[in-house]
Amino acid sequence: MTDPAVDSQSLDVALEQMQSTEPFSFEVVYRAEVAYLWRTLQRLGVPSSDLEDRAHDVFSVVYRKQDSFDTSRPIRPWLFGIAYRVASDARRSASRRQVPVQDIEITTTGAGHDEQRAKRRLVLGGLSELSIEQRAAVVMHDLDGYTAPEIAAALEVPLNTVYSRLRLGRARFVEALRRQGDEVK
Amino acid sequence: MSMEDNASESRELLSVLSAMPGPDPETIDRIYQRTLIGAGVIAGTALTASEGVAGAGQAAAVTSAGAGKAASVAGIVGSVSLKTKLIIGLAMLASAGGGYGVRSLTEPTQAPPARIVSAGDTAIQSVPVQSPVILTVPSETAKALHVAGSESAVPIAAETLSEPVTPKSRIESPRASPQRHRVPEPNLAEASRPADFVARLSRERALLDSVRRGLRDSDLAGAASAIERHAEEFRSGSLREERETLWVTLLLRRNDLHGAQKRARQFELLFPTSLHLPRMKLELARAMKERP
Repeated sequence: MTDPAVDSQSLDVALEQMQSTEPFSFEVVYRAEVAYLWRTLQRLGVPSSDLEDRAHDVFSVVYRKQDSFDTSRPIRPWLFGIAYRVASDARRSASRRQVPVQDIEITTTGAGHDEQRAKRRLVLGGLSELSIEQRAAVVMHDLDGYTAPEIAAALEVPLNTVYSRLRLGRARFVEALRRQGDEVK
Repeated sequence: MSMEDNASESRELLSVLSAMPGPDPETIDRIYQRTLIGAGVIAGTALTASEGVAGAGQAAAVTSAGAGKAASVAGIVGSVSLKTKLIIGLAMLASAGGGYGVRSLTEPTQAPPARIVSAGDTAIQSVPVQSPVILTVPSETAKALHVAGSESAVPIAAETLSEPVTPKSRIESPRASPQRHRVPEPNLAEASRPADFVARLSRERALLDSVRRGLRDSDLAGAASAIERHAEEFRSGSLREERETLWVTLLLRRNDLHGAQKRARQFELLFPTSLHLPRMKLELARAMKERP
């Protein structure tokens, strides 16, 4: 007979104590990070209809470049950098057309999720007013919690550029949402 | 308004996005397959394997039935109904005499380099017959094929899919290993025969039964030997999940908690929705609790 309390608590502890001392295989990296990459692409403004193709693009690059990745470094900033470039290229090829907020559909089911979904759409709408460069900096810093030097390394831009993009991006983002009212708060 | 004020407000607002939903398991598998196909690690037949009989028709056409057939199938894939695709797939299988793709897949070292063509590419007509072709399928087509595949539980599909799933053992630094190793193509000819599939499955089952017997009789060395043999012979076999579950149990029986945790962690990443996962976690949790 299983003990649900033991199952849910000790298990997480048990699994979290595992040390990832060995380099991951591509398959393991893929399985571990595909959800993060998916969300990152959404946050970078990739429309839901293109998410699968862009995720495929990102992991194709990851596969090609896996030999050059320094496994002693954290993998997510590296992945973010690739996702940023893929999203940037996609946006450029789409002739810089602004993606309507309605296109950034987030599929969440259940009555309790409606409000949350509305908030997300508003926030994504605010982000869509930023350039892709500003957007990447703001998402990496204010959502994923990376430091400015980490962002500079991942996006391969000077540190001051990161600070500049952060400052301008935040101001624009907050201003955009203020314009839309206090619905998010 | 200072930058810091904007920073805290921005963080607060963006926190709404912290719990966005990820892709569903089917999409995850599909992207993975497409990535490996695009990288040339697995041939279009791997898509065949995962997507079912409709895909089998395409792959049979491009690998063995000749350029004309390939072009005709590839050309109409985008426009015909799923039912038609199914019929075409079966017809191609029949016309290939049950040995579709045998030449290119059983002799991978002799075959010329694979090419990547799109499903609707008319240039496919110029592809020589003996050249293996990798189909890159647009996501919409892949989704459609996936639906078709879900209706046809052909044993060979599951078996051929399982082999190429781990294309590279590790991400290696350039210093450690500058050579890129490619896993040999699966022997589709062997896997495509139902009798062989059953034989392989029986062999897998026998080995894992040995492991279970060893665990039951406290013959841990025997269990370890059998499980390692299974891992060698059927690295990505049909009973891989069962093997990994037993492996964690074996490690726990050996009081190797760290090893069991590591293996369980890998298992969780590879099979996040596995039915074996809760039991594996429970075993780990109990072992943690009982640890002095």
